[in-house]
Amino acid sequence: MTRGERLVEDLREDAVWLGGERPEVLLRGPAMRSVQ
Amino acid sequence: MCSLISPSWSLLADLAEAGVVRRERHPPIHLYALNDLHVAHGAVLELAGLRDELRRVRAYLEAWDSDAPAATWLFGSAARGEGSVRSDVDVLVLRPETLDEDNPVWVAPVADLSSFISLLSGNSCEILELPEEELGHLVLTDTTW
Repeated sequence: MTRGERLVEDLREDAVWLGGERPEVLLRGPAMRSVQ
Repeated sequence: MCSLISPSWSLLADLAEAGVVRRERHPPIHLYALNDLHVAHGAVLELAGLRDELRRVRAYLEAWDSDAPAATWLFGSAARGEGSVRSDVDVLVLRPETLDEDNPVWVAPVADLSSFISLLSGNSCEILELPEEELGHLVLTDTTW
């Protein structure tokens, strides 16, 4: 697993959102993007 | 406990010896429970609630007038409540696409945020800065999801 993949996994599972753009918007994966 | 920093086993043993927590032996493990009759019970609950102080970081970010991060996260051991007194507090800030990484209107507030979190937590704050579009790229190329 690359450092970037680890970071994205961390953000999806354990990270605490503190402000700004909502995580559900920023962390949409390829599957969700493809249907937009 | 759900503080930013989890207690070490030696601290737990000290708390048990002081009677602040009760230790029950269930071989091969010990179970610990907060002693709600102990005079320090209320103070311990206050300490355990320190994670709620993250709202002060949120307030700090909300007061960032312009050129604020596109998003900010606490991640790593502190986010999981597994950090120790020697752990860094890891914070990810997404830099807006409109700002260069060496732009003073960005660099100075980010440094201030790091100092604020260090003062708040007592731990060193490690800021990971990513351009906003870079996170999008990482998400799109993430094969683990």
